[in-house]
Amino acid sequence: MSERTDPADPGAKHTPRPNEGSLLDRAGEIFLEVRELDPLAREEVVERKCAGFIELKNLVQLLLSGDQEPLTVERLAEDIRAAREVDWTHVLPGGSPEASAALLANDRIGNYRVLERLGEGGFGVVFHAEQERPIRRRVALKIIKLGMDTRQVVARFEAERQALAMMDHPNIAKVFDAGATETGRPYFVMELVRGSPITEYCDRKKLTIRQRLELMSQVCDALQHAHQKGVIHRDIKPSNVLVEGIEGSRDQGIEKRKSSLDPSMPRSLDPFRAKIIDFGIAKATSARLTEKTIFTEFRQMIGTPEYMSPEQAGESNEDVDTRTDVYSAGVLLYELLTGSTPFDSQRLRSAAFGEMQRIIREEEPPRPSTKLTNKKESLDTVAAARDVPPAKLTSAIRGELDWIVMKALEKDRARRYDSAGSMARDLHRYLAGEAVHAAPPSRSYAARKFLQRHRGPVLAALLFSATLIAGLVGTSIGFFRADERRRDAVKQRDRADASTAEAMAQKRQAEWQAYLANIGAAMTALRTGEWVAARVRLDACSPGLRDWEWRYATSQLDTSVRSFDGVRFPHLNGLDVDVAPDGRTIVTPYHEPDTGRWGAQISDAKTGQGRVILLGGHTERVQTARFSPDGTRIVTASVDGSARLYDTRDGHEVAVLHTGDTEVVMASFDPAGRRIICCPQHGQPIRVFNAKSLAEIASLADAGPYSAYLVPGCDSALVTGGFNPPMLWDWTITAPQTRSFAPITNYSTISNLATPTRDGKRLAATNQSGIIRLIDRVSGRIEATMRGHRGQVSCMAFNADGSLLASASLDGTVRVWDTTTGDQVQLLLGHTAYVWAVVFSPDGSMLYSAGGDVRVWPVRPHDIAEYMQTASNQGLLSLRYSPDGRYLLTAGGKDGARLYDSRNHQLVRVIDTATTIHIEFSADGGRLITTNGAGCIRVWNTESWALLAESGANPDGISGIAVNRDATRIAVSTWKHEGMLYDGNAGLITALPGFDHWSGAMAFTPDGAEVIVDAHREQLRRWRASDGAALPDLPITASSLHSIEFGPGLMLLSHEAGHATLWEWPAGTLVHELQGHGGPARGAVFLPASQTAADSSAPTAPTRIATIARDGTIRLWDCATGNEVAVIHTRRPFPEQLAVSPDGSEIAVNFEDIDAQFLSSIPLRDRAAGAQGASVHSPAP
Amino acid sequence: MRGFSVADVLSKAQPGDERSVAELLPLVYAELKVIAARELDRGPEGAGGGAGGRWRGGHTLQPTALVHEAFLKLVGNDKKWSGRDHFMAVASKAMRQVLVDHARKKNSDKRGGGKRVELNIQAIGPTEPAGHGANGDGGQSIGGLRVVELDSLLTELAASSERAARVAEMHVFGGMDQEQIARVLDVSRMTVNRDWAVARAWLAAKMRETRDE
Repeated sequence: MSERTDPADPGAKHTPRPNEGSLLDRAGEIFLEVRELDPLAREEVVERKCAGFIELKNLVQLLLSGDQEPLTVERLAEDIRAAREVDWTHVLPGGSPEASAALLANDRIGNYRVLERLGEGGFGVVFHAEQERPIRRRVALKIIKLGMDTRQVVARFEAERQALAMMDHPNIAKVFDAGATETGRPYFVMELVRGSPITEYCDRKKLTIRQRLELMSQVCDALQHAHQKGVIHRDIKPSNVLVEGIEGSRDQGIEKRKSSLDPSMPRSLDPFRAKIIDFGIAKATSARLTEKTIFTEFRQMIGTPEYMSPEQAGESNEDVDTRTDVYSAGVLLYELLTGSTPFDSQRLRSAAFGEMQRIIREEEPPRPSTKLTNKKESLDTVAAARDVPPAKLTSAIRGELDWIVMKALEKDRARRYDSAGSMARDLHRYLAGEAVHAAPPSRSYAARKFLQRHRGPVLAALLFSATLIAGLVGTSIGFFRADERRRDAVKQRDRADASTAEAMAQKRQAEWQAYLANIGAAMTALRTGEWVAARVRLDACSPGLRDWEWRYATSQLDTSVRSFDGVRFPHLNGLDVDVAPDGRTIVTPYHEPDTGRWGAQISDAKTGQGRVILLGGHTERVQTARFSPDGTRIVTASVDGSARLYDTRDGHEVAVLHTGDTEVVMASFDPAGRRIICCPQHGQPIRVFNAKSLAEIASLADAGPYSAYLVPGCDSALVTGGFNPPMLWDWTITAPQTRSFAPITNYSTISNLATPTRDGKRLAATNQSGIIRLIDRVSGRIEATMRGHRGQVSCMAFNADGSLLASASLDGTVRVWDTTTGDQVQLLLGHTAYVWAVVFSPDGSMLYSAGGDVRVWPVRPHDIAEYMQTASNQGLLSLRYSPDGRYLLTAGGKDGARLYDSRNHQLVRVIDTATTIHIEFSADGGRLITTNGAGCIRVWNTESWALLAESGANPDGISGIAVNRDATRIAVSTWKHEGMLYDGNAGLITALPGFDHWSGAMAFTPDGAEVIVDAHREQLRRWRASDGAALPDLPITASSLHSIEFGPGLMLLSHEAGHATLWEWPAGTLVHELQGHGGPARGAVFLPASQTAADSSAPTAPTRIATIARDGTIRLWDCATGNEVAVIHTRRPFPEQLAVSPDGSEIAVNFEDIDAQFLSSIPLRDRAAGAQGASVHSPAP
Repeated sequence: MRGFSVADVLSKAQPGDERSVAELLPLVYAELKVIAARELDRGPEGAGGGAGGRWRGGHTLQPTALVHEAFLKLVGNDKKWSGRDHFMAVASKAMRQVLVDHARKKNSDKRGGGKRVELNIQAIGPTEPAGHGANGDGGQSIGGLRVVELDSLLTELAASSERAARVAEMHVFGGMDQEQIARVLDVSRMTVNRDWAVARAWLAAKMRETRDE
């Protein structure tokens, strides 16, 4: 671990008096050794180690005292690293004096660092913050005001967290997290939205009525999505509906897409996007409204009576459903149309509580058009903000828009739109010129309410009302019908024969949207570790639409390479598994349903096929079955109270260990095979038997139940978990002397478990929280802490040398940990039930686990299949698959150019030891072209990997390279702004004339006639491939690119600004703009559609595009629609490039620091089968 | 491409090699200042296109962002395979120097009654003073004094344990993680971890001594 000398080394005591430098080092050693001990033990060890050497002791004490307040330094460090208010004018000559103008916050809350204050709302203060772990991203952090019960708020949020995680809609800001600050205030972490409240935005931008309605339809769509996920917002109001403009350069692209796209997909084309924020927060923070709640508090809590539904204004806040949001959306629409809310804010706010309730619950608001007519003085302003003459505004709203609004605002929610979706559809209908479903406001209802409120009015008035109502209804219906007929006529002409096709298209469109929603939710669930939710969502995906992302997500959910059905029980599944010492067989509990007998079964470790059945006298469930170290015996533990021994060859029961207890939950041999230990139910003794004579040699009544292991190397010791902290026992002492490990004080539940390493020097202990600690058995020091499990750990196992620990958990996962660092090195998904047991194969290469069924997993300390560490840890510059798919080639740093087997990522050979910068295969696979640090181009044979040719050096370094299909032309750009054209033997043909900027992105056209170059101009430049003659610029506006890729009839560009663009080639028309990344893009590739080995030879049109950016995500896009299909977060921040395997099944990403990650759409078990079949290459020395 | 000499030096650097630090320090130091100056000229919405790594919220720059920027400028996008860690190590030293310069200047301004500009962290809500005892300014500011104090303590620490001081410097001023530091110093991550624990405890104790005096 460390190269330092062992402080316990007896020689150390006689070290000559150290000088100043080594004194601190020495003190550091002692300090590190004792800092985790309890104060008493610490005192003693320090005293002993320092042996009267006062200076040393003082220094150790100084360090220990400093260690009491590590935050002093950590915070200072953090402050320095993150300081934003460095006023550089002090450092620099002649800087600007305004540097201090911005007031920026900087503090750490949980995993978040606050960057600046964004604003303040009714609930609290919102900050712009940065999350650092597990991924780096910018978020909005909302800190709730004082006066709320933090625990309640957080608990309410937690209750809804899963539902919130399921929401995935472009018009909903995601809520990521909630917690409490150190000072106890609850906070929420949300997707950062840079927008203005919808009302402000609309007025500022002078949006027309139509545009406002489009925005509202986005809002309603979003509400519908949330409602389908079971989430009600409860606080829809302008400040919770923000609008982001998507303006400027995109407009051009939008126009183009409009013409080329299915007209039934208008959603993504809007130049502005409404985002609903604060989902889940209103519910978490809402206080129940009781009579005791005084008005001011109430107002503080809810803040905005203008948008409150009648049911919310009632005494009980429980009675809120999705139609509450419909009402608030109605108010919002009302305001967007008329410039004011249905009930005057001033009046509501000045009214007494009861009066305010009454207004909201009983008063009919004026129709929007009436409101406008009544507000003559402000009509001009309102109309101007909607870019329409006043008279026209009123007439535009009168009629159908009035009806839509009033239907949403019905007091009786049964009369409102039954869902936000219905309201959205009515808005769509209106926008499309169709008849809306909202009818004129319900006069009869209004009349009824009128009667209710004015019980004793004159009959004459009643009579008059009735007459009026009849007239109104009649007129309205007449109007409605005439209008409908007119519209229908127009429609029929337009549609002509397209109705069936349209219906089909609409159905497909709906299916597609559902697919997008399901995939999105599945990806989110995968990421947040909600495996079950992910599975449910993936199952819900329409089979015909499943593509790369679906296969990827599915393969993520099962990383086992084999699975066998274990023993199935009515209530409890797959309880235990053990591997024979020779690794060839496994044993699992066995049940014969017909006879009701219990025993164990020996099966083939590879195939899971049964071999020997061990049936003895067990009458009840067998909990565990374990091999003896020599493999000749198996011991079973049963809840019938006995443990039984069997001969593994013939399955005969050779002995019964009657414990006299009610249940035996675990029975196992010690590593030497001399003893058997039986662990009981709660309240009964742990018993130790002689494995030969079967005599009971110890019974520890107070050692706690459930788990105990004999400690290897200590003849008479056993370690227990149980109800107690991990304890060490000497069972030869009649009055058991116990020793608990002092630092662990919170281990007090039955889920405790302590497992020793095979050398017995360390042990892993866990508690109910699922946190595992690695403890030095002798000193009691905690050496590593392993966090990750979301449920209690049921079983732990070390590998032979103790370098890895595997843990099985009731969270359904198995995890593997590095015992030196405490890092989780593998997460094994696939079990669909609680996992009860895990064990390493004797050679340490495989893991077996039991939980529902038995699963087998390869042990890969560095998760090789998904993750590759480069030889020198110097990072990768570039990564390519060979066109035949057999190899993966990497370039970077001291590693030079290396060739790996693409199936197992084993090194095949080092091609070039020179620092390699670029690598490109010719598309026909015949040549490999590399560039190196000296600026030389090298040409390699791809059969023998022999160096065929080398160019002269380009001392300025090469910035970009392109190779044509058969490697007869190579184009490069240098950092000195030169462009060169070489032939297939790296012979210089010519310098490209007029080349005047370095380029990082260049490519030969598919026909090989031209080389296209991004030369940081307005448009792409090009030169003729045959002789390097300059050709006119391409009329394609693109600059600062990271890659240029060609697909069948398509060109794909990845832009520094973060987006990618897809063009028809060679037509040069923009097809899609792929917007979504939150950081500079680093590449875009086509994913070939064919995935199965059978048809991989036939090139098919790509269906997906993958893009990567510095925001740490890979995004997948549908080629046909340009829709973002999935977002995959890379394992590390700052990905550099991506490459796709020729069959399209695997995406490789390299990172700037040390390694590469592989994302495969093929399940691991299929890949593993492939890799095993791969021929073995011997690595070059 | 001005950065080639830097890349060359870096590509030659070996783990544990301190010579490259001495060679590069002046260059990196100057570059950090140039970048900061440019940011000031640019104004709040700096013309960065989609350059996501850069803070564009105002006239200010995070030191760590600055270091990253300096790397890109001096070494370039194409050479990050080698020497990134070494560069970070050098930049840590340079950034320490820059910040201390700044703090000293600021303190002298204060004393001279000049502009009162804080190297300030405005905490939200009531800030908990770190640790048990409250320090002078309630933990709200990393006012110049604390940076200057840290600087001199690091110098003092280096006299006793050079490596621990280097670890602290890289961690605090360069924002480097344990893995990176381990690679630069050519030691195990565990060693870095231990060094940091010692350095942190030592610094915390010394800082408290100053506070209590």
